[in-house]
Amino acid sequence: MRKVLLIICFFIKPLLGISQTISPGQLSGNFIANAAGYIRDDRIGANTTQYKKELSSAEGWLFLNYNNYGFNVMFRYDFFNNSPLLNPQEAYSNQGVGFWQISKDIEKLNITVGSFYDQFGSGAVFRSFEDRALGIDYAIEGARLKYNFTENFRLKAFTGKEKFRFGRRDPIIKGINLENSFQLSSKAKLAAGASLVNRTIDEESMRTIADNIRAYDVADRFVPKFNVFLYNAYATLRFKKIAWTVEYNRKTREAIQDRSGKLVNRDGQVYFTSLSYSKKGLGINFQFKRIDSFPFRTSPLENLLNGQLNYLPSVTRQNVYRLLARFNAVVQDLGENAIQGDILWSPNKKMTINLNVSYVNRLDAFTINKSGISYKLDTKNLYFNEYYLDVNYKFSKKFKAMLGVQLINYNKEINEGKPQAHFVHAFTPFGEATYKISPTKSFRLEVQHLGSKQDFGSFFNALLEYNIAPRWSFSAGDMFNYKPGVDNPTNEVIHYYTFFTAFTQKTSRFTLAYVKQVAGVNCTGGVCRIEPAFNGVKFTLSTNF
Amino acid sequence: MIISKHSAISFFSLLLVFVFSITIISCEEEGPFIDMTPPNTSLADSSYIDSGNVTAQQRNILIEDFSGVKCPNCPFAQQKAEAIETANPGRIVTVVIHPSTPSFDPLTKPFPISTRDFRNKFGTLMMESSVGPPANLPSGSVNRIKYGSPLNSRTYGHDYWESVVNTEKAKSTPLNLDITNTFDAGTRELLVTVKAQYNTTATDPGFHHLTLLLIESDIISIQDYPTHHDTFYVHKHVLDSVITPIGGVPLNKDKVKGRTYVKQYKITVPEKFVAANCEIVAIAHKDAANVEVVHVTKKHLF
Repeated sequence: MRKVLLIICFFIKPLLGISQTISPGQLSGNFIANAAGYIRDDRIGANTTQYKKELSSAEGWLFLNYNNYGFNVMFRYDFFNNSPLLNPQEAYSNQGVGFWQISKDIEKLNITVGSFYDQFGSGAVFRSFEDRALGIDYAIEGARLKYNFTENFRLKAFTGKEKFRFGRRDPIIKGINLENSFQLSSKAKLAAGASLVNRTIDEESMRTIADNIRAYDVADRFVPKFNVFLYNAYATLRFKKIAWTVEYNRKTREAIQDRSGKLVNRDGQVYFTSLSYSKKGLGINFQFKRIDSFPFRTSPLENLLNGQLNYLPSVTRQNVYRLLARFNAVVQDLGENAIQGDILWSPNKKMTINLNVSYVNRLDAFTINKSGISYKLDTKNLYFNEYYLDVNYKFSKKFKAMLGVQLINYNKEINEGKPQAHFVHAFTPFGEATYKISPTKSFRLEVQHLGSKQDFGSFFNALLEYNIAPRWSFSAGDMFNYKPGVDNPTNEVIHYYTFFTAFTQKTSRFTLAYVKQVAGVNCTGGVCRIEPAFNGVKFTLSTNF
Repeated sequence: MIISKHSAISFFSLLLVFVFSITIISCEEEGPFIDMTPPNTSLADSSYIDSGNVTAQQRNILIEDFSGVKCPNCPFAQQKAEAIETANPGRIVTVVIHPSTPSFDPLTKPFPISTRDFRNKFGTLMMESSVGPPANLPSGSVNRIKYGSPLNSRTYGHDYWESVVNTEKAKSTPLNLDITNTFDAGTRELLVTVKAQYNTTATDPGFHHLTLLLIESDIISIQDYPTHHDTFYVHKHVLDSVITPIGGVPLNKDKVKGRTYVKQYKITVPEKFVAANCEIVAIAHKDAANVEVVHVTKKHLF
């Protein structure tokens, strides 16, 4: 590491004209690696290319951050060996510099060149981010300027191309954003912002788009635009214990793919508002979002998670338990209405109650006009609906437990893009209990039962975890499909066993697990992808230095 | 409430972003050319299976020559095409296209003394939707086959045409093409009937398409050369118009032996075209995913 440091210093020193002693600066970083071994199981659909040919895969990321003389240098080396992470149906192998950045503060100005992640507002007009669990890296490679007029008033501008694996996608992205906050009174504060983002399509992509359009009937043809513009304005008003956020996003007309994959010429908009109230022992939050034709990718020819340039947050609960997270609302960028209410109430120090209700439905299934509000919640118009209730109770310092229920109505055809798929109704009671044997040793048991006649049918899941703080953690679980449903690949009762162990040594953590996992939608914060079943062994290592 | 100086500045800055946004968004841009005119629909469109004996025709070769009146080396490409025609009598159909795009216009835009503007939307669209714009002029494509290393271009210089022609003419065609037509000199109405018949069952993916063109020869107009202008240059095989939709009409029942498609079209030949010098070209080609030509034939109007 010292050698790397000295090499970097050696190159930077002449640039700065420094003749005195070299400052060593600060070097930090982390290393994360995953490896997997595959055991084919056709019954659950664990039979992608890794099960047939490669039999194992690995991914890793070494991240370094060096700080000196006001410069900040970041570097990340990525490797993928027969990896299904970026595309579950592919064995991808490549390695190289996955991220690099040089950044410098010059008084109120910050200059960044290289790769960077950023976001304007909620991300509806622009968000560049990484989510390794989903194999997503939407870094922009280019230049970004930030100027802080005051502590609260900031301007950001950037231009660049979106990273694609170890290269870049051709369209050019640029944007500008202003944010400020105003102290209206001693109890009221307003934070506001506005952005403009532009994407310019490259000639080659436009040629393919134009060729597609020329093949349509004359009535469906249109002249596609090289440029699309997105702009927004957003504000959050905080008054005493109340916070109210509003955001309006607009997108100019461009070619987008409709549900059948046909290019249509549409403009788009997104409305978002949230109202929350919080005081000791009580938190209430209400959110509403309306999306109308708002996909924004590097090219209209891209789909799913490819070339994504924005982020449309999910207005539904993000569940973590295995069966509760089986059905997720995939944000429909072509159009949806979503509404969510969430209450967290602690009547006393021992008890906490969490209630959540969310609805996502077709764009035109919810209208507001002179005659009032109308909405339709039948299976054709409803995309997703969840009722969730949990009650946590701390019986003693050693024992606490939680019980809850979840009711899901899930439009599989829309959320997973599977035509003619059955509409899913699922009822899931669940519970968790944690018992501390000693200050360092504890048991945790979680149990869920998902009852459904559709999809893969009914499941039971139980997991027992034993922790020896701060180093060891063991768990064993079984999720079994005791009553197969209409979409099951087999009528057999299948056990999805999990055996897991983790070892932590200071800042390093090693995990080893045998996992059998059902196919489904994997989501993080509303960004989802459909993943095939998994059966095999997984090893992970993460360390910081 | 007293609004501070900073608040005022930031408010106006936000306003500036909006004004800036609206100004930029209002700017007009020039998009790709999309033909919005309704296509010339087929008068007759029938399909049947002829169970009689079908004799296979020899496969003919299409040379699409991308040219320009201000392109000094383009006459040499035309000479090359003529030499290939002479060496392969009856097997070669040449179509000369003068594309019109901002990058090609300096080479294809007519001289003030040109007798005709050879550029038209048909040639440009056909180029864009089939082989793609060539890197330079003169350039061309033989049967829209990819050539060169690493086989990444359907357009190449005229030095390579002969080699591709020799490879292509050794192949057979699964389709026979026959053109019949009538032309009324008074009304200038042209009635074209094309019969496309499978002489064997074709197994390549997708459906074949049929595209009909009208080309014209012996047009005397100025042409640039490296050392001079030839005011009396004889332009041949110039693309005048496309009778069918640009991407062709699909022959989409099946591709079994004996399957016969009959397509009929009627157009009015514009006055500026000399009918005696015009020819109808019928091209059978693969779909948009693989635009290669499987057969081509041509016929004079009368």
